Amino acid sequence: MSLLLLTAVVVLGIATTTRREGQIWPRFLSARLHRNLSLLALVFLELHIATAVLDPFAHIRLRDAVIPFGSTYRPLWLGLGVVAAELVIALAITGALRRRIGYRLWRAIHWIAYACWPLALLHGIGTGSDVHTSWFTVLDVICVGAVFSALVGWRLVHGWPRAAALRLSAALGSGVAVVALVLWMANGPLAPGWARAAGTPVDLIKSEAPAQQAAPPTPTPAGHRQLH
Amino acid sequence: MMGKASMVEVTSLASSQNARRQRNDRLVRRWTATAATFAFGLTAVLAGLSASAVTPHQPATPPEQLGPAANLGPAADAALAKAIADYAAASAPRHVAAANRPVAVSAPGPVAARHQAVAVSGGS
Repeated sequence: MSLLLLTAVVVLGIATTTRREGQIWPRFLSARLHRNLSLLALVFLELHIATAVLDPFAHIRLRDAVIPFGSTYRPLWLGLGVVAAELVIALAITGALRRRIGYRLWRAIHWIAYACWPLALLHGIGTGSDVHTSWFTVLDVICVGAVFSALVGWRLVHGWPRAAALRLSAALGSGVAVVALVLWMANGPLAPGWARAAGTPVDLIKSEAPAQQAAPPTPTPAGHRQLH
Repeated sequence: MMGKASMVEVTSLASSQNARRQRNDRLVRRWTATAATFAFGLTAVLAGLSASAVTPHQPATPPEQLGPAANLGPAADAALAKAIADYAAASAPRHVAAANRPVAVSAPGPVAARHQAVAVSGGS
């Protein structure tokens, strides 16, 4: 859900930058909704971090939620999420201090929003225990499709043909990134053995393995997760 | 007269700007509330879907797709042989009558009648 809200915030931010408006969608709505949904995304992000730390399954410590790449559970993919979360918090703080720090500095810092979203996406796919479910795939397709469309259809077209070569490179790079993402998903998180490759602790995989090998006629108690 | 007219215009302008601002605020509030409701509702639905996906725990491979038993290895072969031996031992008769032991026939019927006839005649 945090990724979905972050996607909405990014799309609204692009709509604000490119001054998109219509009959039923005035320009001020994009800007103010962008700000309000940013705060909502921040609330959901805090909930996400709190539930991840409180969940005993992965043994994620509070320290792991603050210092990136130090976790014992899928350190790289969890670390990307930590970096993305800290960037979101930095964006929120600089957004609140916009008048004090000046528009130019705020705008320069605000460019990191474009780095924040892909990091959050990779974190969700690399760490998510629901990556094999169809609803997770649908949400990923919606998020990637929305940001890609807004980026290429609005952001890169806005101001054309100024810096045309740069815009074309960015569009091409975005397309390549989407193709690379699909290929990586097929051969990584959706392929068997991802749990081990992603850096899941061996004891978690071992505790899961006997349950997967056995075929009990009655279901085991709730709380088990499938590690692929 | 002119001053009074311009004061009315200014008041009217301020009031229309105020009304527009209030209308815009309402629009933003409505969209924000819709987004927040949608976000919390979808979170609840996704949490339910996620919980139903992790429990109950299903085996990774259905039994009918496990392949031939020979693939399971010598340990499974030994366990199967032991199970067959145990079954055979359990189903075998526990008491076997000795060869020289007289057969006691108590139930009436053709076999008992034949035994009785043999005993009376003394023949074999």
